Amino acid sequence: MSREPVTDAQEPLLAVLRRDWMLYAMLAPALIWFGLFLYQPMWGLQIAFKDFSAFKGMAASPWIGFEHFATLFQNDQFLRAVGNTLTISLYSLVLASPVPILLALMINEVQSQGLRKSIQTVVYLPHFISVVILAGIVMAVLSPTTGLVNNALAAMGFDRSYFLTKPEWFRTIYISSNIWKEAGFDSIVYLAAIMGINPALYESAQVDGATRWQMIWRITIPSILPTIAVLLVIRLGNVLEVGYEYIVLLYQPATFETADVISTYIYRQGVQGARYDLAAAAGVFNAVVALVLVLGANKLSRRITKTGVF
Amino acid sequence: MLSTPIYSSGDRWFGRINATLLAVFALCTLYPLVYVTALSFSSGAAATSGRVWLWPVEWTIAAHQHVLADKMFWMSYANTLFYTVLGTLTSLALIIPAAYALSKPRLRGRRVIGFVIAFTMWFHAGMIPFFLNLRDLELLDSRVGIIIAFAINAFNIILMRNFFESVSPSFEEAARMDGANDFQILWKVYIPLAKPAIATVAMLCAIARWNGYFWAMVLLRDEDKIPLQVYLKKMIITVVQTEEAAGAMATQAFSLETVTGAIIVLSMIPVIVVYPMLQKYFTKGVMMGGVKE
Amino acid sequence: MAATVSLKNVVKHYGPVPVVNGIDLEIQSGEFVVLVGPSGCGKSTTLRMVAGLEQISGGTIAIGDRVVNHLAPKDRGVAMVFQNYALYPHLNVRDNISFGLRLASLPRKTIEAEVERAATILELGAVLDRLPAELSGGQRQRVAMGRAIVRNPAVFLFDEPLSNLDAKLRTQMRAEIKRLHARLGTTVIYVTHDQLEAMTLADRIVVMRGGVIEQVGTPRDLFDAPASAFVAAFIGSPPMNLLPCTSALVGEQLQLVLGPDAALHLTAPEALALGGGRSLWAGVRPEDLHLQPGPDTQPLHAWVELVEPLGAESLVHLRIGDQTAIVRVDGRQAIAGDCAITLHVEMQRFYLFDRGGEKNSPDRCVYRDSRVCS
Repeated sequence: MSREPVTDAQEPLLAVLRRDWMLYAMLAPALIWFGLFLYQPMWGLQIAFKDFSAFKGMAASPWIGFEHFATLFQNDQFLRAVGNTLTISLYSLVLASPVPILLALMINEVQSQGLRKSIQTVVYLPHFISVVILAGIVMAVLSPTTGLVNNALAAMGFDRSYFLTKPEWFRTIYISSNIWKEAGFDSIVYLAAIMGINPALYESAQVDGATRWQMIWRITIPSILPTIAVLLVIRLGNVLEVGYEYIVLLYQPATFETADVISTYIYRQGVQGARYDLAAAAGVFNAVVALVLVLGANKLSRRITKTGVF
Repeated sequence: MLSTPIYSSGDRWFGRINATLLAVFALCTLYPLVYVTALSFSSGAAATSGRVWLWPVEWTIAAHQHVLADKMFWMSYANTLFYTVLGTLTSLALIIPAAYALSKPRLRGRRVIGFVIAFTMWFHAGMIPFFLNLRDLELLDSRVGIIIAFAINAFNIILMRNFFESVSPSFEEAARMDGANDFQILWKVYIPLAKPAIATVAMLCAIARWNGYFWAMVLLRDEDKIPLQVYLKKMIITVVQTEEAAGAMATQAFSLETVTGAIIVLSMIPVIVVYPMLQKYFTKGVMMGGVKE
Repeated sequence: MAATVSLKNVVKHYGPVPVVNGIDLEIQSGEFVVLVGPSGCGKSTTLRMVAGLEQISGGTIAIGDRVVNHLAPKDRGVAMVFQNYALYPHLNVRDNISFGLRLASLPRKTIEAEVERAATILELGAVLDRLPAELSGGQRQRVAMGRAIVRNPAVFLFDEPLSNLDAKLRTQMRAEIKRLHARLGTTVIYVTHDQLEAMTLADRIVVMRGGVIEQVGTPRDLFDAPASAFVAAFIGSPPMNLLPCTSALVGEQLQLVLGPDAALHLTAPEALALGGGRSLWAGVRPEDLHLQPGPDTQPLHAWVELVEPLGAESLVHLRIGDQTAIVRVDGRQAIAGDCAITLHVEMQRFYLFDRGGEKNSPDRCVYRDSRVCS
């Protein structure tokens, strides 16, 4: 007990470890997991900069620097994939983003608790269905011979069409089926934000004689504008993220023109084609650009929530 | 919002139109599921000739029987249950202690460790290095690989950590006065306190496991190990895309379409059954992990 | 079982800021000591350092004859009752009380006996199987005390335990705590910001401000002989009236001008020694201002602004010069509002404090009991 007590910040490391060793023990398994499964691959990223031969192995394969990247940027398929990624993503941003917001606004206006609960139950459900099932449903509905859509077209006198083989239809199919799957669940965040609005605002507006429509425009929407802004910005940061797991199920060589995105390109080149080094390079490009976008988006969203939209 | 306001007639119309539009949207959401279910209970002939719209035509359970007779179907169901249960338990075992430790301000290096974890949400090495890493770890085509390699999502750690941070420190102090060490405090005090947050995280993990197919497809070669979604993919997508099997399957009792419908319906049953119980948790969960200033 | 507690030059820094800045305190075995003061004065931090919940930046704390600076809470022989009870919500009352005992793997019979004993003392027998959510605030507080009792500590530590209770319950629980102390005889260190709790419960009160001790003494000492203007104003409700004045030597008197028409004078030679031209606080408690003159009183002119009838007594808010003051009068006296009044100051109960004007000046007492302070 003769040790001189010191202030917290200056506590010697050994004392801290002795006192908190159990906390570090709790952290260890998770940290090891991160090291083994997420950080170790980052070490393996160097494959993107090597002319990899499975025969020679990683260490012995020669270093070629940014050659793969040069190859990629001269490759039509890759450039097409980048274009598709951005196109699909931005279309989604513009077309799909308003839907959850609209849904939240509409659900909020429903007076009957019974109707409200039923609508919510139905609308949140598709989120819990896997993309495989969704793809199966989409294929069943769009089947040229037996599908709903074509049957309806035929009944009205139009030609049947095998939509899933037509590149010009792919984006529409992808985006609308995504809206079906996710719009409901995505509206929860907005609904939560709307519920947080002080009811006194509405009550005083009602006394002032505002209609419900006016209240939505003048109270609800302005109040959740910060939430919308932040989520939008985050979405922008993820603009390179397109549901490739879903696309892999729906696309085919005939639709690669509009359907092939960066990640499906990587999948085909790397996993299916075993061109590991080239695919890894594409992956590096994807990840680095995504990182820059996400950081930029985070900064932007922090600035928005600090100063507020109003 | 408003409790029982007295509405003008304009507002009442607004309400009616709003409710109608929503009901239409909800029906549109339901319709594909209803359609697929109807298909599965219709005869093959009815389905192929396009007579099924809303309800089963020429009721039969032949398609369902065909699916249930496939041993592979049951195998993959069992695999999915295995991966989901064990996977979720593994996730919780790794996530909860780590999140608890991270929530303590006295942890030296807390900021750095938190950054190391959060960083993985913004940057990953990519599909190929991840794949090659698993190969080097000899976890290809292995059940252990599926369970372990996808155990942790940084977001879940952060969600759990935020919850632990929101618990009043008095509980830890009281327990410490009672003589408890960190392990005991976590196990006996904080975990019971955290039941709703744990339920949310468990639910998120379980859903991701149940619905996940991509990496299972990439990593597993042995047919006996594949989960339900990969089986689905094989049966529905791959088969439909290669139209050979279509002709081979068409009989009176069932066709490719009704079998597809049957597979979809049978694999959705657990989701639909569990879904009402989940409603409570995911609305709270979204708000926990939601937009916070 | 009870132990002494000794704090020698205890210091606590948060970063560069000293929150506790040199506390010296000797607590006798079995004594009930109350740490009282405004928020931020360091009383809770001091308590937590005794408990072992905060690291000590400097100085030593000893319980009994052991220095406990580096001992974990469970090794110090202390038990703590928290402001927000901190009852484990998933455990019933019995399990809450026995939590620490079960952790120590004591034999079941011992645990049961201890829980029974605590339940009897605190009258919790009927609710042993209930969950905290099913209990009232007062019951929860008693469970928290039960948890502390079964540890048979040498020192009880209370951290503002009654702050979360309503006024009526607070009065009740105060009495219970006092009874508990009489029965168990354990040393108690009790933190509160409520001077009434301090006055009613304490054997000795420690008034703290800005991380240091302003005064230590029995309730009587602090009430009758406050060492500084701060303590004078802190103890007693309504607080002592402190009126700024300046001294002036006028002939054979020390004149204290409180306002255009209000002045007091002191004639004793040592009072004259205080000198003229000093900035002072004139202090007199509301109960020491009377409506009728007495053997040793001086008149003071004032203006009645407001009368608050409390029943047994009334509080009269006055204006003296341009200062406000409060007087306690018998409830049956009819006092008209908004008119002039003459009060009589009982000079035996008249105080003078330095009026330093700077933030950290102690404003020490210079005159009381008709004598200059040493």
